Amino acid sequence: MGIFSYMFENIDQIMRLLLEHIQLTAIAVGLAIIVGLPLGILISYVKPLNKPVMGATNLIQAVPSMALLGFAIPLLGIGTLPSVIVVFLYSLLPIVKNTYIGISQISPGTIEAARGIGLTRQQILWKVQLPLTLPMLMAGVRISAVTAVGLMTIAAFIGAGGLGFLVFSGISSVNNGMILAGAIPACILALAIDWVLSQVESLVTPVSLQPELLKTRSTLTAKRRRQKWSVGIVVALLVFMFGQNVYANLVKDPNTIRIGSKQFTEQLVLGNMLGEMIEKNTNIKVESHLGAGGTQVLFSAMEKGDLDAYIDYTGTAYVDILKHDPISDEQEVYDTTKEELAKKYDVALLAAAPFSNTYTLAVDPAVAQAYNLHTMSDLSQVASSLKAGTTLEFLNRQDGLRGVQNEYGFTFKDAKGIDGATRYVALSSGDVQVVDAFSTDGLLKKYNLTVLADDKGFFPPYYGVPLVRQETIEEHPELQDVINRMMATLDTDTMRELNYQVDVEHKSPKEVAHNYLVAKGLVK
Amino acid sequence: MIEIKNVKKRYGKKEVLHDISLNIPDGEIVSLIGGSGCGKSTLLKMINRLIPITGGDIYVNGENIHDMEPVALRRKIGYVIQQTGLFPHMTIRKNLELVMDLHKMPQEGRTEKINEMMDLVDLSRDLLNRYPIELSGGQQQRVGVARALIVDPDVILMDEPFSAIDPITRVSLQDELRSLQETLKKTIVFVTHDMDEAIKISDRICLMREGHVEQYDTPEQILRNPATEYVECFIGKNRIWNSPEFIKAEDIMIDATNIAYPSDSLFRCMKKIKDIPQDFLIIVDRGTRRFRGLVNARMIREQISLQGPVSEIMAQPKKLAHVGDSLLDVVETIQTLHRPYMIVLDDSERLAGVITQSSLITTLGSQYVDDAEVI
Repeated sequence: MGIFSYMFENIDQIMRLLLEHIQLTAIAVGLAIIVGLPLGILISYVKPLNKPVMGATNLIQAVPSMALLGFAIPLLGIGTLPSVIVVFLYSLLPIVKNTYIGISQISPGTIEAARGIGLTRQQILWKVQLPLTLPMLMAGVRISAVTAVGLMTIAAFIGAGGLGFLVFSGISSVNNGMILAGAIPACILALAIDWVLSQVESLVTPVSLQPELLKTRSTLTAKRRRQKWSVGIVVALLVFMFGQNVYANLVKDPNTIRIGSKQFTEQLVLGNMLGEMIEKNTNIKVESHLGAGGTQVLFSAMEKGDLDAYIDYTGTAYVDILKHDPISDEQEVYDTTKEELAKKYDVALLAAAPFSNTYTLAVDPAVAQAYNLHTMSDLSQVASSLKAGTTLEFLNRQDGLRGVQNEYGFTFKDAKGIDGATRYVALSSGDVQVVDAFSTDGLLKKYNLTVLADDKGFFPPYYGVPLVRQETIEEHPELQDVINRMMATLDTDTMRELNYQVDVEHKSPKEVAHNYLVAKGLVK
Repeated sequence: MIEIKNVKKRYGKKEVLHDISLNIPDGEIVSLIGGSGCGKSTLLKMINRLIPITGGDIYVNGENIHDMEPVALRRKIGYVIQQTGLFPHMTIRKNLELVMDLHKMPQEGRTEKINEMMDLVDLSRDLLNRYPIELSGGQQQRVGVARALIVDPDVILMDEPFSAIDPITRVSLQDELRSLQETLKKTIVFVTHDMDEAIKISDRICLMREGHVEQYDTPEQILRNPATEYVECFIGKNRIWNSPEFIKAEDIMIDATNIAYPSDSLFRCMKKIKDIPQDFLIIVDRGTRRFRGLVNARMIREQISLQGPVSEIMAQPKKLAHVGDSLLDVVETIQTLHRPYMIVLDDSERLAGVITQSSLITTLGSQYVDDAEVI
C-alpha cells in the first residue's frame, strides 16, 4: 500500500516531473528529427557519406548510456543540457537509418517517372520521396521516442530531472514507493507515446499503402478520423504544455522570486521550507523549481537571472563554484566564499545554518559499543580488523577514504565501493562495519548508527547556507531577515530528523517542512 | 519531328550506342525494338535527357535538346512507363493534377479537362478518387497515357508501357493506342521487346542490336525484306503469318498458263482448253497482257459456230483481285465466289497471275513446313 500512498500524497510532484519528462523527451526527439531527417536524406543522395554517418550513429548507439552520460559531464556539465544532448544522440540512429531505408526502398520506376514528367529534384523530394518515406520515418521516430523516455529516466543521474529523479531518489533513500512513483509513470508514458506515435504512423501512411484499403474503404475512413482526433488532442496538449512554460518564462512578475533546490531529500525539505517561509512572512510570491539540478545547474541559472535563491553548502560553494582546494577552517571558508561570490557573481551569501552536511563515518552501534568508538581517532586501534563499505566517490576521492586514513593513521582491513543505500544493508547484514555517510542523512537515524566525530577536523565544513542574487536582496531587503531566522533553527540533529521523516517515514518534503515551521512558530 | 544525329553513349570505356542517326517524322509511332541491352531504352531516355548524351545531337521539333533546360524539356514531352510510373500515394485525380500543376494550368477548367482525359482513355470518372493500387494493370496504364496526354504534348515517349500487362488487356490497349493516334497524330517513340506489338502499333520500326540500328523501316518492309540475317532471325522465320494482312495476293498467285487473245477463234480456244487442266481461258491483249475477260468450255460449247473470235462471247468475272490485296481479302472473296480460283491484276489492269485452290493450299501450308520458301 505504501506505493500508492506515496503516489497520492505526491501527485503534484509526480505530475510536475512527468511534464518535465515529456518536455525533455520531446525536445531531444524533436532535435533528433530535425537533425536526423536531413542527414538520412543526405546520405541517400550522397552515397559515399553513407558509411561514415551510419557508422558514427551506430557507434553512439553502442556506447553504454551511462558511459555517454559520464562523458557528457566534463564537456557539458550536468543538468538538462547534457541529458537532452545524450538522449538526442541516442535517438539519432533509428531516425537516420529509417529515413535512409525509406528513401532507398522507393521503386526506381516511381522516381524515374517523376523525373520523366519533369519534376525538379526538390519537387521529387517533397512530393514523392518524403510522403513515401513518412511511414518508415515515423516508425523510426517511434523507436526513438520510446527509447528516449527510458533513457531520460537514467539521465536523472546527471541531474536532468524528470521521472528518473524519483527513481534515483528512491534508490538512494531505500524508498520503494518513490522508485515506483517514478518508474510506473515512466512506463505508462513510454506505452502512451508508443501508442500515439503508432497512430501517427498509420495516419501518415498513404491510404493506398494500407492493407485495409482493399477491404473496406468506409471503415478505413472512420478509423483515420478517430486517429486524427486522438493525435490532434495529444498535439494540442503538448502545445498547451509548452506554451504555458514559454509564457511563464516570458512573463516575469517583479514580485515573484524563483527558488531552486538540488534533488536529494534534505534539499527538497529546505526548498519547501524556504518557499513557505518567504510566502507566509512577506508579500513576495515564490516560484519553486525544486530538484532542478546540482550546484552547476542551479548556480548557472542564478548567474543568468533565471533563479533568485537556493540553499547550498559552504564547502560546495568554496570548492565547486569558486574552485579552491578544500580546507577545513570553517571561518575562512565562509569569509572567502562570501567575499568572492559578491565580487565575482553579485551573489549574496547569507548567514550559514548551524547544521553541517559533511562527510562522516558511521559504525554499527554494536561494534561501536564493543570497541567504545566515539571519534575517528578511536578507530586507529581497531581499524585493521574492520571492513569499510563506502560510496564509489568517497572511495576514490583524494579527500575521501584515503585522506581520512592518512590523517588519522589507520587502515581498514578491506574497503569496498558500494553505492547508494545498499551500504546500509551491507552494514546491517554484517558484511561491513563502517560506512561513509552525510551527517544529516536520515538513514543514519533509521539504522540507529553511531556517527564518529571528526575530532581532527579533517573534512571540510559543509554548512547549509542560502545564496541569493544581490539584485533580489536589494529589491526585497526583508528577505534576508526572514531567511536568516529560519536557517538559525536548523542544527545537524534537526536536519537528520527531518530527513528521517521523509526518507524513512515516507512523509512528503512539503509536509515535513510545513510541520517544522509551524512547530517552531516560524509561520502561523 | 525528332532528329537523332550521330548519337553516341559511353559508360566508362564501354560504348553502348554507336553513332546512331534516326529521323522520327511528325505524327508517327516509331518503335525501338531489340534484344535486352541493345540500347533501345537508353536511346529513348536520351530524348528527354533522363540519360545524358555522350556525343551527337538530338533535335526535338528543330530545337537542340542541349539548348534546353532538362526539366523544361521533359515537361514538353509526354512520358509513359510501366504502371510503377503512377505515384502510389496520390489518387488518380492527384496524379493527373500534378502534371497540370507543373504546367501551371489555371484552376478553372481542370475538372473538365480531367474528365475529358478519362473519357478519352475510356476510364470511368468514378476511378478519379481511387488510388493506383485499387486499379487493374490495364486501368493504371490508361491513366499513365492520360497523364502524358493531359498537357497535350507534341511528342510522347513510351518505355515498354504494356509489358507488365496480361496479354488480352495488352492487345486491347494496343488497339486503342492505335485508334487514339488516328485522331491525335502525336509523334510517339515506343520502346518494346515484343515484335508483335511493334508491328501492330508502329508506322516505323527501328530494330536495334548492340548499340546500332540494324534496320529502320515500315513494319511491312521489315517483315518482307529483312535487311540482315539478324533481323530475319529476330522477327522469326514465319513471323509474317502473325500478320496475314501483310501477305499479298501477289505472294500467293501463280503464273497463268491458260491465256488466249481476243482475236483467237473459238475453235482454237476449245482446243486449248482440252490441253490444260483448267476448263477456262483468260483473255488478255497480245503484248500488253491487259485483261479483257474470261471464257470457259461451257460457253464455247453453247455456240453454233466456232469460227468467230473469242472476244465476242467472253464474259467479265464477278470479282477480280489486285496484287496489293491481302490474303484475308482473297480468302474472303473466294468464299463468296464459291469458286476455287481468282484472277490477279496489277495496277495497270494487266494480268499478273492467278490464285487457285492448289496455290492457296501450297501457300497456307508452307507456314507449317520449315524449309519451304514462303514468299
